[in-house]
Amino acid sequence: MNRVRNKMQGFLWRYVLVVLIGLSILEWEGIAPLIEKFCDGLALISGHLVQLFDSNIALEFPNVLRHKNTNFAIAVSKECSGLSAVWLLSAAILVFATSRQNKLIGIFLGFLILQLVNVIRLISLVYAGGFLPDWFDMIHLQFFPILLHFIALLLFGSWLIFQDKKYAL
Amino acid sequence: MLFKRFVIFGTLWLIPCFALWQVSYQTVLLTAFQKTLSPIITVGFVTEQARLHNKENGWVISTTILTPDQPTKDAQRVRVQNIKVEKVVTYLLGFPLLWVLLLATATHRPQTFLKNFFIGNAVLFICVAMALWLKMFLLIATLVSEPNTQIYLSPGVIQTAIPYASWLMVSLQFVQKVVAYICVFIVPIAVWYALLVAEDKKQLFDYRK
Repeated sequence: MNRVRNKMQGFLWRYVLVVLIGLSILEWEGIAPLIEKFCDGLALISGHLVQLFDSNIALEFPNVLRHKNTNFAIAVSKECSGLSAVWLLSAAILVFATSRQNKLIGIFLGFLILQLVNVIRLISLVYAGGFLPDWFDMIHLQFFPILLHFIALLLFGSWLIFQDKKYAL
Repeated sequence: MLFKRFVIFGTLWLIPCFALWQVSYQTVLLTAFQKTLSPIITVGFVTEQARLHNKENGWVISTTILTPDQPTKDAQRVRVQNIKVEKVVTYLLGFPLLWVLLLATATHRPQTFLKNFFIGNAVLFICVAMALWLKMFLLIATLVSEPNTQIYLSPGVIQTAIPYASWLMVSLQFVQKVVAYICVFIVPIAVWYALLVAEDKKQLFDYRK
């Protein structure tokens, strides 16, 4: 039991340290242009994806999604990148003792899934702002952050099972 | 406890917990934090430089800090630093996440729910209170660190404020951002995991059960 506790405590300390380093990098001004480009890419993907179903949403370069009927628009900015959730998940995977291959698979799939959820979030925010303006702030600032991080936690749990089916914390 | 079952319970509890948080954060959580923080907001200052009170559905810190544009007590001597309630609310986002995790576990094992709910919320409350205190301390320290700032102590007694070192301010601002993340996303998960009974910890990620 003590061994498990020590293992868990070690994991937690390493995790917090790696999270701090990652969040510091994300906050660093030097990396801001890269994150902006990433956000432009997210806006581009969201715009093209939603136009498959609804041509009323237009992408205004580089990062604005606008609903033509309601004229509501969102600009995909640094806070919309979802990279903090990706990092919280990736850090947990990185510090967990397992093979490098398992880590790479976990980080790659985690990134893809979280960004897919993020794209759905961006698209739904365009609709929410137009059709549910009173609820927009709540959906944007409160509900989606919780959902995104809850999904990150579930992904970590799923990855734990995947990486070693006999493993139990 | 099967991980799959936990995922289903967690997903089912997500909306109810969020709704419960929505209806309770104004009346219960923010009020409780305000009552807790009001007496300690002045910690670190010789005199009472700040007071916390509600204004138009938001939090307002009233200070007796005199800024250069309002240097005398005859003019508008109290500078008010507003904290938008939305910014404060983001610190409380860890509560619904914690409730989801605790309720998803309790659906499987209800015996320990009340104890875990009480301890979990208490720990998170303390962490968030400290994070909010740091946020408010920074707002006040930023005001104090502006050039030529003075502090009104009592009628006729005005003291020159001693600015905080810029490296300290920059470091604290970074710490505050990180602490916000930790309070919202790491503390709820860490507390929930710590409160799990050993058997659940063992079974949660065991695919064979």
